[in-house]
Amino acid sequence: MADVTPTTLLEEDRLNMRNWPRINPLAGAGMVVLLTIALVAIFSPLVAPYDPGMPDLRARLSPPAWTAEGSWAHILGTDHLGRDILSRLIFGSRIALTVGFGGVCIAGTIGVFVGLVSGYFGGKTDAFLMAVVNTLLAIPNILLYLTVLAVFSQSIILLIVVIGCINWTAFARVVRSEVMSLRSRAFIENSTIIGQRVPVMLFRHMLPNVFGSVIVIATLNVATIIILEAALSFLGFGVQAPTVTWGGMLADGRDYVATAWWLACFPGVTITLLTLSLIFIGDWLRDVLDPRSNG
Amino acid sequence: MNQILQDTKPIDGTGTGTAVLQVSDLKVSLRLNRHRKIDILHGIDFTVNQGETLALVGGSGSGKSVSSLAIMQLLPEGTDITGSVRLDGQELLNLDTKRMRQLRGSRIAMIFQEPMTSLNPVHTVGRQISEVLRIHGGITASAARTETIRLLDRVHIPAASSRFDDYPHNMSGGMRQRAMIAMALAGKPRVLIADEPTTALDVTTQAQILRLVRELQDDEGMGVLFITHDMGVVAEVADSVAVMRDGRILETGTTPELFAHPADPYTRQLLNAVPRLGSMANEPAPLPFPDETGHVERPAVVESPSEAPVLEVRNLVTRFDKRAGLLGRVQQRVHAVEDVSFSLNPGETLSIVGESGSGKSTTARSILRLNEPTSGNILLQGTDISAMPKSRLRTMRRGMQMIFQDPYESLDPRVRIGETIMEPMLTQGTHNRSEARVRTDELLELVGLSAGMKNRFPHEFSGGQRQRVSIARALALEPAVLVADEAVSALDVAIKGQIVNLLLDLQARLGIAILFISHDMSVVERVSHRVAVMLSGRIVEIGPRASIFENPSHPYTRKLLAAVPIPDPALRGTRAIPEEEIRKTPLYPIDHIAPPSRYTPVGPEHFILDES
Amino acid sequence: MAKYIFWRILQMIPILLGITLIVFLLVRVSGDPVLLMLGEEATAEQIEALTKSLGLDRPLYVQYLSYLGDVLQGDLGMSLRYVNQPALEIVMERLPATLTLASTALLIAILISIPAGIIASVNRHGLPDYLASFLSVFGQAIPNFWLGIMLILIFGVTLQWLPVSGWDNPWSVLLPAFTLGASLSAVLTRILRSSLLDVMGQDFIRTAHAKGVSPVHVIFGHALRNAALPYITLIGLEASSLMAGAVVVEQVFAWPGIGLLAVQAIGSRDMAVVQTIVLFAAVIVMSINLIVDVLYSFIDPRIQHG
Repeated sequence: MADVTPTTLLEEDRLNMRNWPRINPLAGAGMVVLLTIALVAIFSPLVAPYDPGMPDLRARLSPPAWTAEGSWAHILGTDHLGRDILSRLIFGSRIALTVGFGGVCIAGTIGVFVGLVSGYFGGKTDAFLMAVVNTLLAIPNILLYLTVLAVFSQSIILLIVVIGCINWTAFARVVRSEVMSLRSRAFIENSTIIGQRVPVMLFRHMLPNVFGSVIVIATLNVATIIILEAALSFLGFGVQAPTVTWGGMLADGRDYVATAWWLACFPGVTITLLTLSLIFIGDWLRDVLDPRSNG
Repeated sequence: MNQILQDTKPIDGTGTGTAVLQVSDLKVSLRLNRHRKIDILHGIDFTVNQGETLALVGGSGSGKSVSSLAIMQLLPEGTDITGSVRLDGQELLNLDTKRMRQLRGSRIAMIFQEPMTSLNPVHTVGRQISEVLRIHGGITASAARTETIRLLDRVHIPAASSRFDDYPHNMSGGMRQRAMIAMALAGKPRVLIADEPTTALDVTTQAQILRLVRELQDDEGMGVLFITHDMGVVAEVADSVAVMRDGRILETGTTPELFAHPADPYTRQLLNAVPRLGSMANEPAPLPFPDETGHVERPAVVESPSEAPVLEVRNLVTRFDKRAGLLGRVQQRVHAVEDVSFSLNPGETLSIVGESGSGKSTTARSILRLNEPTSGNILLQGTDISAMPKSRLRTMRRGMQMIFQDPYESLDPRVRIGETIMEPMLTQGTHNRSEARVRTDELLELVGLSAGMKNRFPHEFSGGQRQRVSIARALALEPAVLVADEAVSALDVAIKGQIVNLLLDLQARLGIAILFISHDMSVVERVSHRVAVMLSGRIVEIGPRASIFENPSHPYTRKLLAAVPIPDPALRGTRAIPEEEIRKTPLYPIDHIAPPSRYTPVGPEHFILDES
Repeated sequence: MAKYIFWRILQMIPILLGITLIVFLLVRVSGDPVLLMLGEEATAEQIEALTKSLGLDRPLYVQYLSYLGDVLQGDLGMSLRYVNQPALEIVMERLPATLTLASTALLIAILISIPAGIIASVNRHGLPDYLASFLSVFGQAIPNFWLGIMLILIFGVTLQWLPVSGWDNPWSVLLPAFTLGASLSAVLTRILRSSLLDVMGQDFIRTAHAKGVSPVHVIFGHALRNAALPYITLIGLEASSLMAGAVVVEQVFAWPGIGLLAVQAIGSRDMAVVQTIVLFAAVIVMSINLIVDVLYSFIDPRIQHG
């Protein structure tokens, strides 16, 4: 019989707010950035001023437009082969977003399934699945990616599948712990009492109640995968040229960091901007979907 | 070791008459944002005299806890406090934070509702108590240790010196609350604020803590501000009472006066709604609570058509393994339910009462196969379901449904309540979708809600309404047996009465059998035909309600009944209160052979457990 | 205590088995070692002979068991690239560099996150909170290899304050360690802030205030130790990210550790070395987790060991 304290009043107020989630400015900016990059990725050939792979040896290492020697022909300058950096960034967004969202779809599906099964059934099933999770957590994953990618053809499909198949542990852990705490809740126990079948119960009562957390992790996980994809390309094991990737651009730019800073700077800024947006959106979603958390 | 309580002072509200805490026109408001403000307290006045206890009574949301936190200035940021709070004549509200901090824990101390969470889990109890001494007394560590042990002894913690280095998780709830009290006493306060200090405790522990508070108050001459929702507790401890509702004090008076002549309608309602142990003395059948006007609607007594029990439990045993050690081997077992047998007839209510750890809930859960019973038979309408495979059990489940304790937990927050009520019918295939829709409307009307509410989500309902939805869902399959596990325990007193009345009404109309699990003796007295008392996994006494309450024959039943606070100040201090804590957790080594439960009759259909 | 540690080590065995299985399978899927060793022009007889002598004609599980036996005897195979050198030796030689880098990074992360987390939670919704929160989101968002390049540009190229490549003097570790520790300190700051806020809302903190404990002592005497539990847990969880990060950061700064070695070995299909590195990295991660567990049980008396 809890008394109403100001804090419970605050929480109730927050509950009411959930019907009209207020977008905070950071999350709003994040959504604008994400949407812009998504549109640019879809319409790359239309928005890119140049062919991203076309070298122009006369315009090699041309600096950005606003610097003393820059020209407005190449707003963000050109690389060591004279390719337009802006156009390359625009085409690079396709790989980043495809791998990011594709990887999350696979990882989320595997992770949610494992988490549901592990959390609900417990016992030996749980022990086995958690041993798998702990094994994957103990190995620095990048070594697995590198080895698999080094061995097989470095196609984008393979990249997505490999990332999805290894990167699901975060989903599994969170879903498992939520399911375990939900399992003893009365409305879940009541499913047993009315004779509901377990798969139906998992789908109708468990899944909707863990979905908020899944969305939050998924958003943050897209950011993780985009950085991972860039790292793999940076190390030379990602999607191979002539396909443009931000990580690949960074790797090229690294050799010119002392003389032509813009080569390495802009891809990094773009990646950071995108992951920053995703994290802001994810944090906002966490505040909206999970009233327990402290934002 | 029982002792008759001796009241050392008369309860006429005299005391010494010196005011130690004066609260006048205290207002609290909460700033939601720059433009919105909610008033929580609308200007309350009361006085606590030296050596006296003032009880602040009210339901949830009345503002009683906010008042106490406002006095201590412990409200979170974003709240505005105005008015006056004087401690020994000194105004507290204009003190700077440092000065106020020096008073907290020394001149004015506080104990809280949840002894489980109010102690820091990573520090020893001794350290937490001696911290008060070291902050306010400026004494050495060894002197603080000696004094702490004296305090632990003072609150009757056995072997006090050896408990100094215990962590809170090694102590029972009652012990922790004693430690909290020792901590509050450490600064020798003038005023002790006790915020629902016994609500989370078992009834026998509650009686002990209440007695301790009174004893200490007499010895130390403190003023006590006692915050509670329980009129029974008020009658036990308070010299005077202030009744609160919606942030206002409705009525103040000395305890005997207020109980005898409540002036405000809300006070009358509160007093009416409180179940009074012993008030059912000459009633043959369960009786609903009176409504606001005090009128009692007697249900027509229905004779059960057949004598064959709908539920029969024989020698039920449920044990849980406790694993420990290197390989997680089972080293001990909790004998949560040990050789429990009873039967339940159609249209009958059997209550199982007991304190936490008695096994009453595990019994209910085992019967429903939410926990797997270790052995024994459960005959539901003549069919043994105790070892039935899950696939066959599914259809048997329609015969027995359940209502849970927490109305906030029992409904899926993401499903509309109409769907929730339809789910059992669709799952069991008793109705097709359109039939189920019609039936849902009927059920909602039946439990006192309207059919138009079916498209709402659980969060749009109050606690009492949610419990009605749960009942509607449980009735959807027209079960023969309804298991109510503490189904009214989490509800406010007035709502509690309404839900009990609804259950009694439904039972009279539908002839449903109810297995009523509860720790609340007064409610049990009201609703039951028969009562079983559980202790440490066994039924220690079972029999007709009247027989149990008028002729309690097992020592534990007597203790339990003696500990229940009765909302009648005239009866204060007339009953024996158990001195020692009752050992409840039936934890045994793995090779323990539990003796069977044998019973001796003490009256018609009235049995007590033989001492083994 | 010793019993508890022993028990935890025992629990690691299945995970170690899982890791060796993954490592073993990695090599099996990475192409036919016989072809790799003999080259494209090998005759059928040569291939058959080598397959037999390497034991590759046996069933897969027999091969795994024999590999496991070798590992237990400390035989992790010979390097392909550095002819006639055991993989173990090569990896051991590079291990100190990575351990130095990772532990410095961890130290930096802890030194940043503890004060930042406390300051942010105490000034909730104040300027320090927003600053700390923003920086910690930023630290998570920024790819470490890019951060490394930018630090090289600023401190190495433009300001010329710090060495940017290799491990020639003690200062060399600063830039790579900061690069590696940046995202860790960001996530640690976030968890410490939120768990402190969480703890500060609990009943026993209210009790402490009601006792007249000063606000500073409420934080350091009562809240911090409770808030440390999720913080330490997260260090355990992030241990493998730390090792993964080291692989990339070593590449950026040409830091001569096992990360740099790993990328070279993978590039040249030197699978014995890759296997050894994965095993070592996993053992390091698990050791960090063991330390975390032991620390945890010291901090939280509710966890019984033994």
